[in-house]
Amino acid sequence: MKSEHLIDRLVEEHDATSPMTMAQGRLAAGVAALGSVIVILWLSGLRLDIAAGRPSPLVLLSAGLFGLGALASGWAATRLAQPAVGGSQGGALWMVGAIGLLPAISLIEYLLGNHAPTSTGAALRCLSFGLGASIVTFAVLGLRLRRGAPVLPERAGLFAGLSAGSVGAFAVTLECNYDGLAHLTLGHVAIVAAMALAGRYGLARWIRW
Amino acid sequence: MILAEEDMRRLMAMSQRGDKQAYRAALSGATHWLRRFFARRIAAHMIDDLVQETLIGLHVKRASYDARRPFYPWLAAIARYRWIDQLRKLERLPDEDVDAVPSVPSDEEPVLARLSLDRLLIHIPEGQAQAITLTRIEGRSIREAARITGQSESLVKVNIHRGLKRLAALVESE
Repeated sequence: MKSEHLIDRLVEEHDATSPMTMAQGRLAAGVAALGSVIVILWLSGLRLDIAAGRPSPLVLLSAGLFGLGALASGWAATRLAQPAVGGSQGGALWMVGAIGLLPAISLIEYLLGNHAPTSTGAALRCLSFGLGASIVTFAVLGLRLRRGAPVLPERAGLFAGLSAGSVGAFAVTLECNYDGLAHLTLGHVAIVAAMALAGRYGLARWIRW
Repeated sequence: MILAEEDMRRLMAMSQRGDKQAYRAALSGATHWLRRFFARRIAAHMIDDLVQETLIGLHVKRASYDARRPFYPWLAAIARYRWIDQLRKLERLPDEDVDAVPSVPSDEEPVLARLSLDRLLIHIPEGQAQAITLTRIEGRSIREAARITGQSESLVKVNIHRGLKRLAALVESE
C-alpha cells in the first residue's frame, strides 16, 4: 500500500482526540499517591512519635527520601509516556538511588556489629501494607503509560514501579512504629525494590507498543 | 516539502480538535520528513514500509502529542523506536544501493540533522555500529561484515545484539 492510500485511511479513521498533558498525568498520580497514604493512615494511624509531635530523625530522613523518590520517579514516568528526543531521566534515577543509602548504611552497621535485632514478622507486615499502598499509584501510572507512547518501555516501567513503591514505603514509614535501619531495609526499602522489579519486568511488557 | 516545526505543531493541534484536512496535511508533512529521516539508515526498498509503520504509530499514539511541545522531537522518538524495531526483525537483506535515496543535508535541515539516526549510532561503540550498519542497514552477510571489520563472525553477531540493545536504550538521546 502506498503512503497516500495509508494517509487516506488514517484520515478517514481520524476523529478529535483529547491530547495528553504531563500535568494531567502528574495530577492523577499525585491524587492516587495522596489517597493511598491517607487510606493507610486512616487504617492504622500515625506513628506514635509523629502523633506526639516528636518524630525521630531517622523516620523524617527516610520519609523524606521515599517522598522525594516517589516525586522524582513519578515525574520521570509521566514524562516517558510522551516521547521526545532530548529527554533525560538521570536526575530522577540519582534521586531514587538515594533511597539505597538506607540499606547501604544498614549493611555497614551490620558488618561493624552494631545491628539491633529486628522482627521478620514486623518486616513482612510493613512489606504487605506497603505493597498494598503502592497498587493504586502503580495502576494509574501504568494506565498512563499504556495510553501514551513510551519508546523506552523498560525504563518507563521501572520508574512507575519505583514511584509506586516509594509511595507505599512513604505511607508505611508514617504509620509503622518499629525503628532501626534493618527494619527500614527489610520492611520499607524492600517495597520500593519489589515494585521496581514489577515495573521493569511486568509493566514494561504491557506498555510496549 | 518538509514543513517547519511551527507549521507541524499547528497542524497537529488542529488535527487533535478533529480537523481532517489539517490531519492529512500533517501526515503528508510527516511522510516527507520521515523519508529523509530514514534515508541511508535502512535499505532503500524498506523505507516505504518503515515510513508507513511510523505513520501508523503516529496515528495510534497521536493523543500522546502535546501541541505545546515541539513536534519533530516527538516524531523522531517514535521513528527511532520503529527503526530499531525494524533492525531487530531483519536478518539478512539483499545487497542494494543504500545511496538510492538522497542523504540528509545537515546544513539545510538542522533540526532533522540534530535528531538523525547517525547521531544515535555515534553513541554506541564503533564495532557495534559497524556490525549493525553493514548487516542490518547495508544488507551484507555476517561473513562479509566479519571480513570488512576484521571481527570474527561470532563477534559480529554479539556486536549486533549488544548494539541494538544499546540503541534501544538511547532512543531519546540527542
